[in-house]
Order: sequence, then C-alpha cells, then structure tokens
Amino acid sequence: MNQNNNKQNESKLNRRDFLKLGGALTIGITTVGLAAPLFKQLSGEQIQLDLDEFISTRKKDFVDYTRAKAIPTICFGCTNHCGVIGWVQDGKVRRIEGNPLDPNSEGNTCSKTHGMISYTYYPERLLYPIKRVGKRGEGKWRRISWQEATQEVGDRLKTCRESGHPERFIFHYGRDKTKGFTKRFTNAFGTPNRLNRRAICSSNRRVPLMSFYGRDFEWETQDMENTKYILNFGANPMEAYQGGLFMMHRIQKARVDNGAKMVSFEVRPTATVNCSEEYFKVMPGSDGAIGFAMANVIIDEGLVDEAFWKRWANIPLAEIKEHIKDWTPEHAEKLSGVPAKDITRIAIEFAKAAPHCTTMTARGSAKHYNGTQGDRGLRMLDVLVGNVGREGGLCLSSGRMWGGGKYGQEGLPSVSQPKPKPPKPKAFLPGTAAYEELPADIKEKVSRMDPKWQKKYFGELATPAEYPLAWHWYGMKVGQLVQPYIREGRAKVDVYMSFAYGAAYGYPEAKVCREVLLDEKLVPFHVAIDIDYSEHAALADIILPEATSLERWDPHSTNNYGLIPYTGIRQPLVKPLGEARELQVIFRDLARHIGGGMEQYFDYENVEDFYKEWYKNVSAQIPGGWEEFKRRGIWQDANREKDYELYERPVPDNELVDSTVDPETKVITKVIKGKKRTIGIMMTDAATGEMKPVRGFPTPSRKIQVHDPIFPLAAKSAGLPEGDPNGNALPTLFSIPGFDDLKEDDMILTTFKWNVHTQGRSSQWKFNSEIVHTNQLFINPKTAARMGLKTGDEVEVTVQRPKGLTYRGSIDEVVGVVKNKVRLLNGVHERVVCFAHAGGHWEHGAVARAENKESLPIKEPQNALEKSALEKSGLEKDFSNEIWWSKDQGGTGNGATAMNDVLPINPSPLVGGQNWFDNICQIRKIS
Amino acid sequence: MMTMSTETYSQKAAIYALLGRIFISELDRQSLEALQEQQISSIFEKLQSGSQKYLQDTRWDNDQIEQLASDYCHLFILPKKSGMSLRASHWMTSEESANLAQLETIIRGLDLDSSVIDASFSKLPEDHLGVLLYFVSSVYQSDDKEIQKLGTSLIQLSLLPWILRFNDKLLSSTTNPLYLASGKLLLEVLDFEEVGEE
Repeated sequence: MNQNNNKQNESKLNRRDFLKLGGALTIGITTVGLAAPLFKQLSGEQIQLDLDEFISTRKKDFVDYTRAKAIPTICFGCTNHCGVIGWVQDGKVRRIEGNPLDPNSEGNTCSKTHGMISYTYYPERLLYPIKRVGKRGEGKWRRISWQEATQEVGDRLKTCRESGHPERFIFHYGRDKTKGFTKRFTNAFGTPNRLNRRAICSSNRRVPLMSFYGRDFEWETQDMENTKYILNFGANPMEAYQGGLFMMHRIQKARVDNGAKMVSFEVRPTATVNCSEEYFKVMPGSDGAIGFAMANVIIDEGLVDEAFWKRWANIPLAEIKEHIKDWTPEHAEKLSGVPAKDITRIAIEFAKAAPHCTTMTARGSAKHYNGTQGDRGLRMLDVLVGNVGREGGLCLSSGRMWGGGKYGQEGLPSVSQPKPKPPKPKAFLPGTAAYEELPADIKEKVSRMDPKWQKKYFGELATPAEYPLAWHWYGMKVGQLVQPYIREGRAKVDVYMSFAYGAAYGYPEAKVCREVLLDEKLVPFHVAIDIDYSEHAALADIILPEATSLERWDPHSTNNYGLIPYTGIRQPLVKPLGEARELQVIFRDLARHIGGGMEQYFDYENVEDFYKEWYKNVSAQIPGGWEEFKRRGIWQDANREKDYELYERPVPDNELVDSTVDPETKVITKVIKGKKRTIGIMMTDAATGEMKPVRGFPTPSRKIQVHDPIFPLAAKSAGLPEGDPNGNALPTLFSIPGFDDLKEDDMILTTFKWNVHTQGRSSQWKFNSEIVHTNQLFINPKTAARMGLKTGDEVEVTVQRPKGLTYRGSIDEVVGVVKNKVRLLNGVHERVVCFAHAGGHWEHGAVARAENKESLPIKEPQNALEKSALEKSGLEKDFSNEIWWSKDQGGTGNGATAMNDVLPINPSPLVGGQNWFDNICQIRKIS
Repeated sequence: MMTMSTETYSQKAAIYALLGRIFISELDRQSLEALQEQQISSIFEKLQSGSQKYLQDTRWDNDQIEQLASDYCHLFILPKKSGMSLRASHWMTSEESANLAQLETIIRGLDLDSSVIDASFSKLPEDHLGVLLYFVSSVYQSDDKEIQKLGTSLIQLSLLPWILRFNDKLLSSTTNPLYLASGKLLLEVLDFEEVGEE
C-alpha cells in the first residue's frame, strides 16, 4: 500500500477551502445528484426530546424491558428449531429467550439461539445483490439493484424453462425449513432437481427407520421422561443431535427423578457420555455387532415380548434367531472391544426394563459403510422387547405438516400450502427430452431398474440409479455426488442455484465441488442465495442476500418429545436489514419474471397473507385467530391424548368405505386419488378376539418390516454383486472394507460437531465462535505415547481412499494430507483420532476466519480531533480486534483447520449416506 | 468550538452531503461529472495528489464506472480481508452499537424525502456511514439554530468514536485516489468541527 496514503494531514484545508468547496457544492446542489436528503417534518422539539433520551439511556441496560416488545418466533440456530421469544427494542432484536409455550423445548434454549442475533447484525453480512465482474471465483464484484438481479437471473431461468429442459435448473440447498415453499418454486418451474444434503446428514439412519416403520417420523421420538433405560449408540443429544435440546432435559429428568440409566457406546467422550451411567469405547462401525449380540442375549434369555413380536414383526422370531445366531457377545467383543460379559449384562438390564426402555442411534452408529444394516440390527432390539410406541419406549410421533390421520393422528387441523399448488415434475420416461439426453450407460442402468423405480426416475442428480434407497421413500438424494456427477457428464446444467449452501467448504472432498463450480462449461450460471458471503457463494455469478430467520416467515412443525403434536410459526421480528429480501419475495418476483404460468403459484403481495392462508385451519382453533397465534407463536391441543401405540388405533369407519382387505395378509387397501394405498390392517382385538381394523404401521405390510424385500430389490437394480450384504433383506452384520486388516499404525479419522456450532454455518456467529474456535485432533494418551506425541504437537494426517462399493472405491490412492495440532484426551478410542469438522473458513468474514484485519493501531493523538475522538470512544479496538482468539491477539487464531478437503466422498451402497467415520489414515509428527 | 454562522452550517451541510453520497453507494456518471468540476476537484487534489487528474481525465464510460463500482464493492461490501465495513457496528462494541440503535431510531422516525435520494437509501442499515453523514447534513440544513447544534452532538456520538480507525484502515486499504481523498476530506471536516477556524 502506498505509504503516502497515511500522511493524513499533510494538506490540511483551511476555512477558505471549506467555503469554496461548500459553495461549489451548494451551487450545484439541485443538478448534480450530490445533495443531502431532506427530512420532512423536522421538529427541533421532537429531536431534542429523543436525543435527550438517547443520551440519558446510553448507560442503561442492554434491554429495557419497559420499552422492548416480545415477539415469539422459531429459532434457526440448528436443526431443533425451538420456540423462542425475541425482545425487540428500538427496531432491533436485543435478546432471545425460550418460549415456554413450546412443548418440545419447554422454554429451554442454547447458545445457538443467540447466534441468530450474531448473524443478523453481523457487520460483515451481505446486504446487497452483487454480481461478479472478474473471473468466477476471482473475488471481484459490483453491487447491482434487485431489478437488475431479477432480470438477469429471471432471464436465465426463463430461457432454461422454455428450452424444453427445465431439469437443467438445479436448486441445491443446505438447510431449507420452508416446509415445501422451495419445492413450490421448483415444481412450478418443472425441475425435479431440488437437491438437498440429506445424505451428508442422516440418510443412513433414516433408511432403517423407514424400512422398519414405513416412514422416519422426523426421527423416532423416544419417550425420554418416562423411560428407565436408554441404550445410546453414537448419539449425542446433550451436544448436537436432531431433537437434542428437546431430549436433554427429559433425559436428565428421567435419570434424576425416575432413576433411569443411560449406557453409551461411543468412540470419544461426549457430554452425553458424561451424563451416562456407563460408557464403553467402541471401534468405529461396530455398534451393529453389539446390537446383534444383545439381540441374541435377549432371545436366549427368554426376554422377548413374544406377543408383541408375533403381532407386529413381519417374520417369525425363529427365523431371526437363526439368522443372527453367530453374532454373539464374544464375537462382538472382538469387533468392538466391549467385553462380552458387559454386553450380556446390559442386554438383560435393557430387556427387563421393557417397555420403559429405548434405543437411541445416530450418526455414530449409522454413518458407516455397514451403518444402515447395523442400525437395522439396533432397531430390532426395540421390537424384541416390545417397547415400540409404549410409555417410556421408542415412540413414533409425526411432526410434519398435517394432512390427515393416516398414521393414527386423526383430529389435527390440516396445515397445507395455499392453493393453487403446482404439479409435480414429470418423470424421465423414454421418449421425454430429459430421458433421451441421458448418457447411454445411464439409460442402460435405468433399464435394469425395477419398473416402480423407472416410473419415478428423475435423472442422476435427483434419483441416482446406483442409490435407489436414497429416493425410494422420499427424495433424500446423494448430495455429495452432485458435483462429481456433473463433472462426469451425468447431468447437464443451465442454471445452478444454491440456497444457504456450503458444499464448497463443508462437503467431503470439498475441492471437487469448487473445481466443478469454477468450470463455466459445466456450470454456466451460478446464482447463490445466502445471508452472507460463504465459500460456496464466492463461486457464484450473482449473490442474492436473503433475510435471516429473525426477518422472515416460515411454517414450523417437528416431532414432539412430549408426544402431543404441535405447530409454530416463524415470523419476522424486524424488517430485513439493508436490501436483503425474504426468499418468498425473491421467488415471487422471479416467478413473475419467468411467467409462463409460474406466476399463478406466487400470487401474493404480502408474505404474511400467504402464511395466514397456510395456517387458516390452525387459526380457526384459536380464539383470536391468526393474531393470537402470532402472539403465542405455538399452537397445541394440550388435552389431546399422547401418541402412544398409534398402530393400535382404529381406522375410522368413513375411511373404510370402498376399502378392501387382502385375505392373506389382512392388509386394508383403498384407492385414493387414483392410487391403491394401504390404510390399515385387520388385527385380533385382545378383549373380544374379533378381527378389527387398526392403523398398523405405514409400511407395505402395515407391520414392522424386520424383513424387508426392498433391500435385495435395490441391490439387483443397482447392480450390486450377488450376495452383497448391503442387499440383505434381513438386518445383517459385516465389516467395513479395510477395517479387518488395519496395520498397526493405521488410525480411523472421525469427525464430530461442537455443541455451540452448527456444522460449518456458525463460524461467523461471534457469540458462538467466542466460545469455541478451534478443532484440534483429539487422540487417546496411550496412542499418543506410542507415537511420541503430546498436546500441541503438529502432525500430518494422510487419509486413504475408502475401499468397497463406493466413490472411486476400487482406486488405491491418497485423498489428501492435512496438518493439525493434537490434543490428548482420555476416553477417545485408541484407534481413533477425531476433530470437529467446522472451522478453518476462508470466507464468511473476519470472525469466521478468526483473524484481525490490518487495522492500524491507535496512535498518540496528533491533533484536537484525534484527542477528542479517543476521549469519546473509550474504545481502542474495532470489531475485528474483538476477535481475541486471532493469532495477532495472541490467541490460537484460526486454529481451526479446514479438513473437509481430505475427507473422502464415501456414499453408502444403495442408500448414499456419507460414511463420515470410515477414514483410514496415518499420523506423522512433524513438529 | 467556535460559534458557526448559518452560512457555515450551510457549507458544512453541503460537504457532509458530498461525503454521504460518496460513501453511501457506488457513484454514477452524474455524480462523477459533478466531481470533475474545477473547484471541487482542486480541493480533492489538495487532499490527495493525483485525484484531480483521476477525476477529470478518466472517461467515465460504462467500463470505468463499473471498475469504480467494483472498487467500492471490494472495499466496502465484501467481507474480505482487504475490505472494510462502512457500518458503525463493525467498529464499535456491541454495547455501543446498541446505544447507537436509539439514534438510528430517530433517523428512522424522520421522514426522508425520497424524491431527493435513491430509493434504496431507506433500506440501508441505520449505522451506515453514508446514512449518518446524510443525517448530519440534513440537520445542518435546518434554519433552526437549536437543531443545527444537534448536528455537533450527533457527530460526537455517532461518528467520532470510530471514524479515525475507519479512516486509518481506508487509507491503508486502497489506492483509489477518489476514496483516498474522500477519507481525508472526512477527517478534515470533522477536525474543522472540533477546532473551527484556527
């Protein structure tokens, strides 16, 4: 930088200069556009009054509750989405507290709630649409108006839509909690490519739920506060877990008030482990082995609830007993390291607590090559002891937007998007333009599919042929393969729109995503919608600034751990800052620009009116209607019966009209909207011995599908080798490729989430990054001693390409090498090194980068102005200087290392869920 | 501080308006042509050598205007390491910013004449430097002496606590003569507020 720039006062102006400049400007004031805005109704009395108040309240509390207004909304800090109350004062949200009306959180909140204030008022938040003026990724931009942005993005979309290939519009989102609003846009457009990050998150654990119970019910809803025994396999509700905040106080209540016991199987000591009565370190990927062993014990000890199994499991107990007989506690001990005697003891304790007992699984057990089948084994434990849907057990309570009572939840008001609703996109059937454009090898794969999948095939991005279970139940997609597939030519792109999406930083092998986004031949146009300047948005052509969760509307519904369904509303507490806009406004204006019928689905001026219509049936339940609903933020019929044993609830008589019963299976079916659907099953009434129609489970058999033929069907469709265990109809145990022959120095690299962060999205939330801003490699002290390591040593981590039926699984190669510092921690498994994958950002502003800007230090005051300024400010630091953990402040700096580039893309066979925890690596000390 | 005449307030109002315009958004052709005016550009030259030549010799065609807009974006909008925020909340502590919000409420409470300014002005954050400078300018345009005096108080509350550090960063972050001169002009006029005519 030019040093002359810093000679600030070398050419000081005098009074004559000021008069000269002021005079010149005054003369030209009406013609040159340099005029000051004028204020109407300027009143000295009014200003004096307000200014006096301003000055007098400078030292008052941060929130003046006599003036602040409380407005309820729904938190967006993580996936829990708690009901909260924001205190708004002087047009700003000053504090957020829990909403006691939320039956899930019961008024509790966590640090991430306060992150909403951090990101809304982040001084480096992106507040204007910008367009790149240099090469993509070069970082050169200019601000543009919304009119220009809408015109350019709209023109691109319009051209794409009118080309006859609407599927070339790719909508790729990170966290979308609009409850279908974005789908309204993509459906209206006609593209099936509304791609999510489900595979990154939870698909491996959702599939066992959907296979067993017919749907995932927004995950299972354990009746924690009434339970007596919790078997935890790799779940961490005390820190980071879907529903964690709703579970943690209930778990503690159960432990303290009911004497409940929690046993955790984990690879590292978590907060949940610390709240457990017993903790066992397990080898990654061995949870299923423990589950099968426990199942054997429960069967051998005669602790099976045979009545429940016989009534609701879809295979005889003898068959499963024979299938799992070799997977004993001793076998599990060899794989997991957990002593057989403890496995046996705990299995017996668990079964004896039935039905007041429950399993809890999560990514720790599921995000492995064998995780889907392993979790099926763990799911079986609940069925064996008969705790499903019972008090204190593993319950299934739907929390999605309600549209009827087909899962036994009759009587809830319908909550549904306003009409008209756009039609769904058309499948890629032979003869359609989209199908004919597919590469020949993909067409061949599609031709091998089961006909039912051929009918709902929408191309390789939305419905990848090799991963049918990623989209059999609903569209979970395989997000980590989107960019590789685009690069391989499996799909063509005209417009790529990312929405609150961070794959360029946070996905496995994120460098692949960046390479593809930088290639304008592969991705001709990228528009990003986000609240700030992320690594992903930095690779866009246009960035549209979105309103934050404190500035916009969203519907809300999730499963309630109190087991009585409820709904809530996210509503704006303040207007969007700067020129940021609500997504509903962005899409409305784009739809109108694109036209061609799209606009009819976005026929609203006021966004609130749209949601008022959406919730009209809920408002009708409340005296005071919509306004009262907004005032409370939550609606629930607290007198409603809890969602226990939904499967035993009768099918209402009116639904039975025109239904038929299969004489063999007793399944009740009915044609609804032209499709034959199951609505219940005839079962023997315990009291009368008569056959009666009950709901059962929303599976094809209306029973719990311990045996599920969808797995071998999917294996055949995807072309898996004959006998591959991933395609077994029964829950099955097998090894992770490469784990059976680990060398002495091979380690398993696993990741975890910090309790105050939400993946990679929260590093710019100053409130949270002040608390946690590092991600060292945690390692067991014994292992460290063997390697000659101590806390603070820098190591090089070399990650190998995973083997097996996965991305590039046949190639022997290193995925990447990264440096980090180690930290010794008792309780980590001896074979494991683990780190939090959030951290090491290079965008998102100064807080995320944990750096100080080159703000010049305050000098000794040189003149009256500088002296006065120093006296008045009382400050010596700018915002970035408040980043006290930056290196030049003597802190750890961005001690958080970006490690996602070296984590392999590793989708599970058939399901596509990312196997985050199967990374074989070597550690080498470098300093 | 010396007593100012109404005429002086008027001149200062015009200068604050000029600075407000420069910092509030990218400059358009009309504004740039106005800055080419001899009396104005000569003052800029006094503050930053080369700025007059930059203003007057540049053909302000679409490419040049876009380049200037890109400079503005890089300096003031993107959260890049070499950029800097135009918002007071970047430079003040959260508590100071919260107090500042009350001032912002006053600004919001005043009915801006949208016929004079860009429509997007009303959507800018209230702690934006351009908004604050415009506000001071408007107060100084009043004929009411009591209101004029408020301008000085507002400068002390909303600008002085952070503007020096802002300016230091600006002067070390750009080579653009226009923004260098503007930063120096901002310091000069604030200095003039403090000491009056020496």
